[in-house]
Amino acid sequence: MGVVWEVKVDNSSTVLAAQRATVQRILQQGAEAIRERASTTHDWQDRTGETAGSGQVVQAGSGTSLTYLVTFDGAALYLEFGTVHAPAYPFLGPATEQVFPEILASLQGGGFSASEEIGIT
Amino acid sequence: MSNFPSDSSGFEVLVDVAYVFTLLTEDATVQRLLGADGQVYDDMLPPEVTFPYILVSHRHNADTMTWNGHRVMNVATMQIKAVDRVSSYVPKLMPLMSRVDSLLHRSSGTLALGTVFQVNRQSIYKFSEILEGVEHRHLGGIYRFWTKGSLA
Repeated sequence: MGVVWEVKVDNSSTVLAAQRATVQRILQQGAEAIRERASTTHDWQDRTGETAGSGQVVQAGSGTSLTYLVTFDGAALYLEFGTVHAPAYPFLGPATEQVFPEILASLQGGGFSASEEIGIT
Repeated sequence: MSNFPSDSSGFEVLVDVAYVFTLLTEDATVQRLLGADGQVYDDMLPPEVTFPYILVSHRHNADTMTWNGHRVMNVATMQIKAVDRVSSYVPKLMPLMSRVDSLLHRSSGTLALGTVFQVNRQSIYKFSEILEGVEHRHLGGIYRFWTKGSLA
């Protein structure tokens, strides 16, 4: 169980087919920037490095949809949202808040729109 | 010479928290669903917390600025959730957080500390854990606040 950020691009098949490589590059770079920022900028003490080092970028979706996920395992879920005994120390959410506008601006330059979501995986 | 009306001032995230507390503590339905021991907390819980409770936690914020440095407003995200020792979300947590959401989502208001222009829910938060053999469930959402502070 971990925490996941998901960005999804839905466009007409012809537009996405023509510019798929460009959109993939924008999303891949954006997702890597989020993973990097979340791994290195957090308020919790990283004793083992396991949680910060567990970040992964995964491509999903096909056809007319492109989806990229940034996932963290270890204690990520408990740190991001808190538990009964531990307050939340969100790190993936704030990282996406900082980077997503840049991703969106790059996509909009090519006529694309995107949606994002943060949740539990 | 500037014709900018007035900068946002103070600590807008505290306006957001005060806004949530005002709405939730003054609402009879929320208070009834929380029960006699129910409480609303900001960021931290007391050592001997009673259930259910509502916890308001800051997640992230950023100032919206003009090009020449006027602070227009602050945009923040908060996690607002109810937690209870229950084996299902439905009987108690769902009505409680549905009421909270109906008070917050697409709401706005002015306090002495500033003005909340808009609150929107961004996503639902749902989580369960077992502590000392007892099921605990968390239900709530991530909310975004657009706020201007007016602290002199």
